[in-house]
Amino acid sequence: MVTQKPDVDSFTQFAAANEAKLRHALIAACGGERGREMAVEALTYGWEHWERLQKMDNPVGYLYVVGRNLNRRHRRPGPVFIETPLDRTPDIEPTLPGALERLSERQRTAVVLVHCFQWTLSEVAELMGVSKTTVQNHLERGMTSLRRQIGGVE
Amino acid sequence: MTTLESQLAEYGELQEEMFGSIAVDEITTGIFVAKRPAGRFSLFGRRHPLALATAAMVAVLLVIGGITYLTRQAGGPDPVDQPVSEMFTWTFHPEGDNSLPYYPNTYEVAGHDGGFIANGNGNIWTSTDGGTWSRGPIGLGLRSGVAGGFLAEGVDGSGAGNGTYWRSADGESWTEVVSEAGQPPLPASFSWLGLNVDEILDLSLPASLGPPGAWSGTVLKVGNRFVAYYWNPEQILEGAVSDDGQSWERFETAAFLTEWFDFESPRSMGDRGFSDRLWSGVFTIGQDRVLALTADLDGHHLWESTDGIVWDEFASTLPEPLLSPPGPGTDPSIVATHHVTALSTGWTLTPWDRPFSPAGSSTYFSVDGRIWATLSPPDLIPDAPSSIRVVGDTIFFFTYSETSEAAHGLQVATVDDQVTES
Repeated sequence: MVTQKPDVDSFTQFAAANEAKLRHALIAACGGERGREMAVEALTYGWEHWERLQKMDNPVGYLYVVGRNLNRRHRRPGPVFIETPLDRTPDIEPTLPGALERLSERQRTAVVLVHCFQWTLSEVAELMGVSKTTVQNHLERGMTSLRRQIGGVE
Repeated sequence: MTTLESQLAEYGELQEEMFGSIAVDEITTGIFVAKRPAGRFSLFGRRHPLALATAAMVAVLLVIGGITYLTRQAGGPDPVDQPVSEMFTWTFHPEGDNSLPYYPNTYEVAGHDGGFIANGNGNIWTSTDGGTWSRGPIGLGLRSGVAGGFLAEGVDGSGAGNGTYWRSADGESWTEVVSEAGQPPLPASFSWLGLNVDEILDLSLPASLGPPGAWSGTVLKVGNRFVAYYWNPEQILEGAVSDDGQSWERFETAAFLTEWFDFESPRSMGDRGFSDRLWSGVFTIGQDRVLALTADLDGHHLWESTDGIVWDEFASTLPEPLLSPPGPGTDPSIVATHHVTALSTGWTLTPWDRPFSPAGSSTYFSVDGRIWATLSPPDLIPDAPSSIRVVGDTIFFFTYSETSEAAHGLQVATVDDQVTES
């Protein structure tokens, strides 16, 4: 059985323009491998509901919520961030991935999106549906926690 | 020395290398052959007779279970006078021009002088009866309904996207809240309760609660006093009490309190040094009795306080799903409780991010905090995403079903007049 075919071109354009943003956001929330997996599932959901999705003011934010909920539905344990490969260890503290995992989800989302993927505070605020000031608070608290956990970093 | 920022940037590049772009055929392949992703998600995503039959069966079991549970508890010290299903009168308002956007596009609802205000799809919405809604201004995030008006979060007029607060007496005309110094006087996470909207400008925060803008925490109104819990600049949870919202006296926080501010996503629970318990909700009945719900790896615990400062564990029969410890490897945050709200006749309790929580897909209601029973609109489709908000004695149940567009809309319930508090 083949379902009714939505507007392929418009969805393809949407996916191409926004997949990186959605993938980064879900990597921040769920960890690398799972975040990418959830981004694929969320985009699949978006494809199925494209007619409704394209009328939304913030479709990426909506798919971000979908991806996080799907991840919770799989009942998996906390986020998993890959260990630092040996050839990167001079530049990246080996304890950094574990420290990221121990942040609260909102702190981690702010830290990863701003410092790993160079999002602006406004972009993160739009995604999370909070004010820029709130994102700044999450970011500062997350960076403080990371410094405390890792130690010896500026 | 490599800075933390540069390490994070490097780590981001590593993530991009390993978990890079998603090709369109990864997204769409399954759709053209009408397959959904594997997992539980597929059951109610199809209009398959088996799924619908299962849904109906689950609905019947939920109703029977709720009634049985209630009946079983009826001989206890605080009997509930009548089944929960008879305590509320539900009215369904289908999706339409004069209806709120359905879940998950509506986020908060607040009440004021018998009217209601909500934010959804980026707009403020107002209603006098809870069923018929009018679209208002764009771009404000509702924070709270307060005496004399409403408080909303938005951006200032600088064009830089800085967060600030707005107040309104009617939900339609909004004024930015600005102090005499020209700076927003309110903390970033603002939850003052029961204040007149015109008095917000008079609030001041002592230096011990941190500078404005960096403050994060929440405030309870217990009796005639305000009790604040907040994170100080050293990231330590502190408490303060005030009679007037101006002069604050600090107190030592109870040991079981943990990361209040992040209770919705408490992955860092335990790293604050208080305990391994997660504060997952607090709710008030009457003017001077507060209950708090905490979660840990053993399940949930209910605490009682008459002043918001000293807490005692409260003997209660919580809904069975909340008593069960999470399974091996389960994120404890999943069993946390998101919404705990008070009506004049009792409390509602909703497992976090329902219906995705293994704690169950039901909302529970209790007259006294001891006995809990399932609360649902009579024709709610089980496992369909929905969300509950409680304003005064009105319950808003946003419903959405992938199997029936007729279910898109808003269930509004009012408490039956003959319900009495036990």
